[in-house]
Amino acid sequence: MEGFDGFVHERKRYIFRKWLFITICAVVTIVAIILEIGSGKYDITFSESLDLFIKHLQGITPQDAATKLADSVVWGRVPRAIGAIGIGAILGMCGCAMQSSMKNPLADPYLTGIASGASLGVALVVIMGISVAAADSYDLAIMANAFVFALIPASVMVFFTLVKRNISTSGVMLVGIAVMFFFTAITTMLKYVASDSALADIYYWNVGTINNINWSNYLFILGFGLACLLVLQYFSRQLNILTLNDENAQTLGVDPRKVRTYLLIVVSLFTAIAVSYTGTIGFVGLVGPHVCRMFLGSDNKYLIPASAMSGAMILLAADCLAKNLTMGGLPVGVITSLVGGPLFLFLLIKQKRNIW
Amino acid sequence: MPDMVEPSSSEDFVDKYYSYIFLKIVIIVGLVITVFLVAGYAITIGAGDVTMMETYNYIFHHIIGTQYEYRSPDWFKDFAIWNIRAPRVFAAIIAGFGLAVCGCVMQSITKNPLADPYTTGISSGAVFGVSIGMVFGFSLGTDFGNLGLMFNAFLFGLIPAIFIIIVASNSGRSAATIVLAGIAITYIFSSLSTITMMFADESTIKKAYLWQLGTMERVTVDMLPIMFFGVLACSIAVYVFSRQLNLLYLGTGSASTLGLDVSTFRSIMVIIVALLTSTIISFTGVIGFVGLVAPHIMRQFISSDNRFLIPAAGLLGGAFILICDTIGRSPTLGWDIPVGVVMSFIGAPLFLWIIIRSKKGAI
Repeated sequence: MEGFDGFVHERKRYIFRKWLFITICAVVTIVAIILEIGSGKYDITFSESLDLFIKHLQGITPQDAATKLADSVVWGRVPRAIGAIGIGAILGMCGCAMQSSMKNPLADPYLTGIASGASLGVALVVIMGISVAAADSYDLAIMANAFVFALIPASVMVFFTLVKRNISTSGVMLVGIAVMFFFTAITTMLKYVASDSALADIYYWNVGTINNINWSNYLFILGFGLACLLVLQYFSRQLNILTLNDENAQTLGVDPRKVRTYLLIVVSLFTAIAVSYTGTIGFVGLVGPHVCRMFLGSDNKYLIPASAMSGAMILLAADCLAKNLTMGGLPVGVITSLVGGPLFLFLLIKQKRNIW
Repeated sequence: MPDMVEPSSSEDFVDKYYSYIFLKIVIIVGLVITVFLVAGYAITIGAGDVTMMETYNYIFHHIIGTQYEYRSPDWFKDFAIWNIRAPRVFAAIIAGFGLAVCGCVMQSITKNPLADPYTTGISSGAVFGVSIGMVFGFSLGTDFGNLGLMFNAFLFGLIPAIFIIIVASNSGRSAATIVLAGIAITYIFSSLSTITMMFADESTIKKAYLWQLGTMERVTVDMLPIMFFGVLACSIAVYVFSRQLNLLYLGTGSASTLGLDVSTFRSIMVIIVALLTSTIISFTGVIGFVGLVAPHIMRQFISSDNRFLIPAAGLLGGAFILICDTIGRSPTLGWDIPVGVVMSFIGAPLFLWIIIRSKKGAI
């Protein structure tokens, strides 16, 4: 296939691949939503649950007490599904933006040291009782601390980009890593004086969970997810230009330093929000975007929404598996790695093109 | 290469080249002296009075085979230095050297500044090996106990490398794909470790956690030769290939044009790094930071020429771990702080300062 025909053929294949990917994501997500709502640890059958859910949607209120209870259980699963989608989407998009702007496949939403900062914040509350907010509730104090401390390493990175104007992208990333090591060291020292139960609390927070999402906060997460999508989509053209070298980007009217700094701030903010709700959930933000790259190439205009979709899909599907296969015994982060890891490895070995 | 000015003639060029090399050799010799002095000082710390000169003296005499009268003061000092203090000091130097060398290699073959010796998943494999050793008593070695755990750490540390080689041996693979395969394997093994830990009681979890922090305590004098010769052999192997590593900076295409079989070369390097890192990790546990940062710091002073970068980064790594371990166990602090923690406390600000001060945008 030579010349124009070859080009047309390539283009058609590309578009086919794109739609195939979107279809797969959509189908898996819908199946996962149905499973998420239809299953759980209580003794309500799958069809019953769906029936109750649809009735609730139609506004039919149940009559007897038993059905009422079942209805509230089933209805309570809805925000969890929405939350998983929102959090997964935020992590996926932020990972994609980080990888593109830093031009590094190892980048993920936590590259800015967010995980280490948030862990330190949580350790401070749990072990020392130090909180940034004068919050009356323990959970709120943990959230506030996680959020504020998560942003400290990112601020250091932004500070370096402002002070040292010729710093390279690898320089910025290494700054983040240095701060991360420093914060982890402080956390380690704190853990030395911690009680066993405090250690267990911190450990579970680090593994990450979406159990905390309920009717009172799901709207925030959904809102932040949409905001994140809009902002990053706005940057997608600049992100594409950043993949050229910096001189070329400048010629095209994009100040790489400025755009990188903005993205650093945006990604840190949204990731810090996600982390303060759920703890550190790994894998999604790193692998989601890479899977998208395998199917879509590296045009950020498509990559950003696709990463959001695949992130949401991975997290939701993993949560379903965690709920149904292990009866909620395994944290969602373990399932994503355990099932997603080999799958990702398989895709890496099978793929013909290189994604970077 | 910062000081390469336009040469006016070929002699000028040769002169420039020699002065360029001379500076690097001075730095390397300086580092050797630093390691020697710090090691001497580190051995004097502990119960009983030994001065630095005495230390060197006793070690020299031990090496040439001087025998002391049984239980004489000399015999005690020799015993304390050689069997109790020196192993820890030597282990720190060897571990730091090996990890920094591996860091150089990994950063070169993946062309990624974030790569470190553990990028191929070695640490997660080793941690998993140790976890199942501690929790289920499962060991690949013959006898159990500390030695069984070491065998587990070593052998499980090599498993990820097998996957990486499968990926890397295909000539079409980019460096990024290798890195990503390493990440995928890291995730798989850490989730397996997490699952294993669910079957463990609290004290085992604590033991496993402490193992991960990394320490020089476990190295005894009879293990030292294995560690030393393992790291030495692998480092020499790496050094032999340093010119080929330099070629990789040009990109895969140019490197193959210049006669390098990139995929085979990468696989060989992954094997060497895996052997080296697994050896170290099985004795000391997971020690981070130094393998990532030592090469970057030395790049500031020596440029990226691996012929000089590898020994310089190795020596810096050795000196660095030694200093941090010495501070961590110094009696004034009252309790042993893990070497990794000291390293992050001192190393991270130092590294940030170096980044701020660096004139080149190289870092």
